[in-house]
Amino acid sequence: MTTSQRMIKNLYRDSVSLMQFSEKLRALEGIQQASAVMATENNISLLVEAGLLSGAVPPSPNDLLIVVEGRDESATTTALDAAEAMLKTKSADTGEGGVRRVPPRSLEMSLESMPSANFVLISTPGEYAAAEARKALQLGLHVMMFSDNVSMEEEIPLKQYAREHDLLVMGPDCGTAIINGIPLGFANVVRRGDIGVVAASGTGLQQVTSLIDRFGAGITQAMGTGGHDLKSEVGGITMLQGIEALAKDKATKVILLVSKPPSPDVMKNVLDKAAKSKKPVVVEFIGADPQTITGGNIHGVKTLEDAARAAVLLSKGKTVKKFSNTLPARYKSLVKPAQKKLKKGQRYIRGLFSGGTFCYETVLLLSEALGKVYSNTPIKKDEKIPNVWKSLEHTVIDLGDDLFTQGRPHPMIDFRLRNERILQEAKDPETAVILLDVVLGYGSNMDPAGELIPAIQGAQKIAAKAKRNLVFVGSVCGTESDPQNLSRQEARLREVGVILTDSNAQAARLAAAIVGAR
Amino acid sequence: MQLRALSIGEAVPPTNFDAVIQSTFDSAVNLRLRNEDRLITLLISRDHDLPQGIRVWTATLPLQSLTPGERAAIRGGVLRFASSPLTVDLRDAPVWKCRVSELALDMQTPAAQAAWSTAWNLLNREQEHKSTDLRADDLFRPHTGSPLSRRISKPVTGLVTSADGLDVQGALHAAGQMIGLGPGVTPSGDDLLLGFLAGLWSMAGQNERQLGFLRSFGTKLIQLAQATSEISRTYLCHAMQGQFSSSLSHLAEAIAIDEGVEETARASMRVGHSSGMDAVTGLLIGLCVWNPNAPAAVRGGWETTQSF
Repeated sequence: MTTSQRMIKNLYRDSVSLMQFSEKLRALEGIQQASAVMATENNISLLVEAGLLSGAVPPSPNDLLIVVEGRDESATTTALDAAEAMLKTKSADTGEGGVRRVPPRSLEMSLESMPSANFVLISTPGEYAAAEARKALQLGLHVMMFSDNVSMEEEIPLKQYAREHDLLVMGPDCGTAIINGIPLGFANVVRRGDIGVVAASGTGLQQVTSLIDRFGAGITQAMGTGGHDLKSEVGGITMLQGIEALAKDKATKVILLVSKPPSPDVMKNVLDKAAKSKKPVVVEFIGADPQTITGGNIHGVKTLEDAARAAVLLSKGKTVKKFSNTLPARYKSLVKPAQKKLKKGQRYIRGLFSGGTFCYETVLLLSEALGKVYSNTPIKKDEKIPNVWKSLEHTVIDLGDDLFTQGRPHPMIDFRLRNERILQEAKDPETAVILLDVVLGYGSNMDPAGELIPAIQGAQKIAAKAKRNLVFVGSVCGTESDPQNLSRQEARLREVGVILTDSNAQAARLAAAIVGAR
Repeated sequence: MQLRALSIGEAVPPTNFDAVIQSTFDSAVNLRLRNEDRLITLLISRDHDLPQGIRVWTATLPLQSLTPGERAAIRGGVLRFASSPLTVDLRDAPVWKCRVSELALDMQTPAAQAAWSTAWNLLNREQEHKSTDLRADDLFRPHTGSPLSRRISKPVTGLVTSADGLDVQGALHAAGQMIGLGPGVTPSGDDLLLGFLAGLWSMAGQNERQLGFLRSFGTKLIQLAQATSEISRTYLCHAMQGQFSSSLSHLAEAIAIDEGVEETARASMRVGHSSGMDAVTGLLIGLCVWNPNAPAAVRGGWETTQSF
């Protein structure tokens, strides 16, 4: 047996590549042992100890030391030559045999390298997205358009083409989907199950799927349609296709639909299609009266939480009763202690939201309980906030609005704007409750609690200086399996005094109860 | 092509700087700061945060136009390269801070001990499944396991004993036998040491004696770190100041509250081929220090069962 070694200067390869490289060397003719390690003193000593190095060589920690043991010198020299050639030609983006693999620059090239693909996610700037989507459809691919700023004039022909060719276009502006268990865009890691979701709302989809997971059930597919889909002009093409797909899907036992109320003609078509599915269908048209929807296999509900709860009950073969509009007992007990902290002049809720649907649901529930609620996404035109940068009485702001996201990441990622606003609200002596949503999952900030806590503590200090207290109420939308971990995020927020509920709807109701009669 | 930074580690200089590309990997690019012996790392979005990391909003880094030795610079919050159209806009990215040193993890609580045991068992299962050179249980069974396990076993025990007694010299002697030892661009010994430091920093809290040990050990460890690769040395230099990757800090947090330990441990172990598992090994061993109730085996008793 002979051992030989060679040092390759300043060469870095990740550990997986080095391991595979060593294995390739061991497979060479006449080679018994091979090792490729950084040439540190300790590694050299280990190789000497193992008999792979006949004597110590000078350490050189940034260089790669290749050692081979083989039948004879000819075999080891050949192996080292081959090793050096492999390392010099094999860069991170080369394929087998040293041929440079060019990264795909078009859908056609991507499809060549992955012929079995049937789905494409498009996230180019809006002006290019429609053209890419059309190419994808012509190649027979389903499309998820994460891109926004795509006009309805472009969206309609794309969706019509897709429908004619039995393909699906999710979006434009479809930020969330879970397809075959894979979260896409902003999405949570939820367990697989028997509930299929079609939603025209990103955070609405995240809330129902996360709550379904929290309630012990799971998802088959969760499809996003994009915000324009249920408008008259588009006709709900994607939602109708989604219902049809879930109706045919054997794994789906219950269908759940989420949207703001569609235009009347589209609503009729959607409900007709849902009725024909012969499966239990839960419908949350946020803001619509559930009674006008309920009938046959269709169960209308009032909140996203009720939607998840109803879907889970139905998936377990139970019947759905009417859900209560009132605050559950476990939260009622939190009202008085919170009220005691507040001074007489502290009267208003300031809702600062990163999720558009959470904001909208909150405006609806607070309006019901408290009357006038100003917002940048108001229910009534006269409740549009005159100046989005300054709150007025009860104010609920969607910080994901285009106005706030120009030139900066979405507030689910970048908390600076919301944190500044928290401090601003703390300075207002009329602020009683600061109401928040926290969204976990892929795409969102990896540590939302860590981002919010300094601002919450800063706000508490500002209030304390003015001899006031603030009440923070919120909910965390996410699951235990999310990269941020639901329990850990909730625990950290509770540590700094945030009162958390299981859902956005309960947070809104709790906030309303705190500032209500006292 | 313009990419946007998703988060920036707190050790990345907040001002303009010049650098050269030190190395490129499938999902990372290391830049060496001019006139400084340290690296900053560009990472893709699915990677964990690093103290020296800039996470970029992309699934793959367009590496075809970047080569080691090429100049790079940040001006006005935008990272540019000398001969590549790639730019990375850092202006709106939030700063990521490792909070391990604020944890004050109490390993005397039954919940933390249960979480530790869960993570330890999972780690050993994964190491066996992946056939890694280093196996946590083997470190405490003399003459068992791979040559690497056998070789590193003694210094690991020495490190635990020395740290327990706040003996800086003893700890340095043990660390010297581990640095640069094992496979990978961040050798296993370094990863284990890194994790070990994360364990100690996560427990020290405001304890002045323990913090004093960590500071003194860290200052002297910088010299020893010259014996390993530049990339690994960068991680160790941050570790000496209580700064670690989010994968390690999340696991320490999960153990502190006994929530989501399995998921977090799995995510921490997925780093590299064995780097993640080696670092988790170090973290869990580190968490046994300064604790009379810790598993006897880990504290030098050579027993075969490791649970609180």
